[in-house]
Amino acid sequence: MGFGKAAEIAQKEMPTESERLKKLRDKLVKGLVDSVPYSFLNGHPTKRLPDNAAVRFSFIEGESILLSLDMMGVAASSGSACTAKTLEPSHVLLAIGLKHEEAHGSVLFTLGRQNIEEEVDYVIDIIPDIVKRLRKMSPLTPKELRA
Amino acid sequence: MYTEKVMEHFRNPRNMGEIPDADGIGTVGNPVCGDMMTIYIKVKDNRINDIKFKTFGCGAAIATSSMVTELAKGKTLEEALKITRGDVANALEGLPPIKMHCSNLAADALHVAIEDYYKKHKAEKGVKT
Repeated sequence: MGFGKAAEIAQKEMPTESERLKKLRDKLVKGLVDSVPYSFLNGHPTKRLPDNAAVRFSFIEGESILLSLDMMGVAASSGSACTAKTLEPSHVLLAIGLKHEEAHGSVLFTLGRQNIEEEVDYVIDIIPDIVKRLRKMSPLTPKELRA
Repeated sequence: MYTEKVMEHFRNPRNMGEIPDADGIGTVGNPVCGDMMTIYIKVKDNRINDIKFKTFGCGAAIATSSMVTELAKGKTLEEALKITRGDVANALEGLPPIKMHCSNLAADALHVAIEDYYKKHKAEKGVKT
């Protein structure tokens, strides 16, 4: 059956595909955290799913980052679940000790089979300007970051 | 999810920034909720001569802030006090229902800024007389 075949292929390719995704994930996380001041990885650096890059940006809110990314052709999801039925931030982020406002500024990038390194580079390339624009608007941004 | 009008204000927010010597300042919301905004007004001859905003929040929070500055600019203080959350949402051709309550704070911030102006203005008058 189709599903059985799919599971068989997935199992066979899992070790190599996981390695490929891990490299992309680590490049994405490093690129984002290095290029944006006051940005941090949520969760453990290595004990995490190979496709999961959850990053938070201080002083701004997740949904406005998502809208900006969407305008540039990038799909991600937000820790603030702003597009979901509740506006509450993710209970998981709160449980790992983040403050509400930190959880609100979180964005979850998930990588998949179709993603390639150029796309990771593209996200790293466009994020600094998106964050800068939103921080310029935010009353929470410290003075030294507004210039 | 958002109307084209909301997205247009999100992309090109009007009157974004601060007024260092503002006559009235109004801040509502808080970062814990995910939405917080500050409105600054400059008043001349009982009219809102200049108005600016700073907002932390989602697309709706930014668009409503931008829209309320457009609606209030040039209005008398009495007219500006009559601007409601509903007026802001209508001018944006609607907001998603879940955003009507939490993120549609801009009219409240405007009203707080005007009250702040009244308070300061009365205090000044009190000193003079």
